[in-house]
Amino acid sequence: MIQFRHVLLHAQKLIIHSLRTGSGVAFIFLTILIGLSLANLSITPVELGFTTAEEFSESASKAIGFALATASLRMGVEDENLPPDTDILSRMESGDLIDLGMWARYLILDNPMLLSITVLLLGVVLPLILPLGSFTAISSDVQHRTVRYLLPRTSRLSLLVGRWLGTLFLSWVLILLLLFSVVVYLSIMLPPEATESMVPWAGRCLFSLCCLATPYVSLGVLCSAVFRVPMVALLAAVGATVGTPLLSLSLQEAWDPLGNLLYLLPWGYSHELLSPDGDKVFTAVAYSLGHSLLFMTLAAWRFRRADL
Amino acid sequence: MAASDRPGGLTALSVLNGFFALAVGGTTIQRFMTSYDLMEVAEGEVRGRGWRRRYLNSLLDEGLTPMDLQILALIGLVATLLLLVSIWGLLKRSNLIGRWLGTLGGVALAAFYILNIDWLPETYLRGSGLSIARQIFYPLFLIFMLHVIFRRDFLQAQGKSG
Repeated sequence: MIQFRHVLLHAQKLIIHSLRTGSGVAFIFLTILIGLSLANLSITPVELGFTTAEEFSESASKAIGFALATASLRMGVEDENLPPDTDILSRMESGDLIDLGMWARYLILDNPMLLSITVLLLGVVLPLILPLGSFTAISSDVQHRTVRYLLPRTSRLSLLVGRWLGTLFLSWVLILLLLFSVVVYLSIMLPPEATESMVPWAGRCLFSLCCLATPYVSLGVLCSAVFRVPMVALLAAVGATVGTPLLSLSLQEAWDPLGNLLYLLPWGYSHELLSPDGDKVFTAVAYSLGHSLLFMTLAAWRFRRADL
Repeated sequence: MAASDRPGGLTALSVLNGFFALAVGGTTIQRFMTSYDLMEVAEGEVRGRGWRRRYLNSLLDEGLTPMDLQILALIGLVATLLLLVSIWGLLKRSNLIGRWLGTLGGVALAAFYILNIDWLPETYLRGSGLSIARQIFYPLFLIFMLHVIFRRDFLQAQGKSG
């Protein structure tokens, strides 16, 4: 039985506790530090004049098209009319990957390029950082057996959902802070006409990153509920997040359908959160919520049966 | 031996203080060295490779004076010392040395970076904009943590020792 008041109380306590612990401070600091460094990485070549904005946008759209083809498991030639050694750039120009070429142009030419690149990089790196904020959600209290003092006053489900909500809220606030800093900086650096569409696009990016964060936070909470030792929970969450794409992309070389292992985590569809096609965005949001629900159901099932 | 009841976040903050003290210390040394180079170029003493001299001349043309750099370096030095001393205070949960010197260190650090943006010409700062944003974030974070999250810990520790 979930008591809404208890859930909110657990969420509030988790946020305060996170700010007081070393891992919480490290999580906040690393998220902001790494996020701003990624933004710096995408902005610096243009800012230092190593390349012109036009050249940069051209090479960025090629790189993004390549990344989209990898993420959507479409590196192999699908069109039987094309020779098997057709390079990926020509396929994006006029072949079977023309939709990905259009998608990359949508991100680079139709919207603020530097913000799009920063958000795409964040989409790759955030899943690796987010477990830092959730690995102690349950396991820390289980390891120290302090959870025994909490359970006579509240239900296991309220505790789990409250901790999940607190971690998720903290992650969303950090993403908001990060995007806010990047947008303010870009607005100062770029001419006013280039920043007109910045705020609406930043809102869309914030929504996408928040949707992306939800399943990964849930995965962190699941690992925290399964493993009693916080470090093992962290290793499991990070290991699963890194291992899934590595495993699926290498197994795809052996047998194409094995590439679908990528869908075990949101890696397979998370890029579609920034798609120009509204239906694809809706589907990706639904998958994110479905993944989160699945992870939380597993966590609740495991936590309810755990001998504490 | 009794386990320490110091929150882990304070230990993490002291490590971060050390990290930022080293970072700002390095920048301080750089500011001092550039100010002496600028003085030599302004006095007409030709020294170093051509590109370096041209770069220093361009800084002088943009209105940067050695005095500006020395004031910045002095603020950086104060920030470095305050942050270094506050590490000990944070670990001991001392209200004066940890919380207040840490706060002053944070203010000096923020002042250092804000004055850098305000005083230094664009050619000097080009390419470091977001890293400056990153460095301004830390003093704000430090002050928030010391005065909101850990305020009670410092006061309780003071009460026990007092």
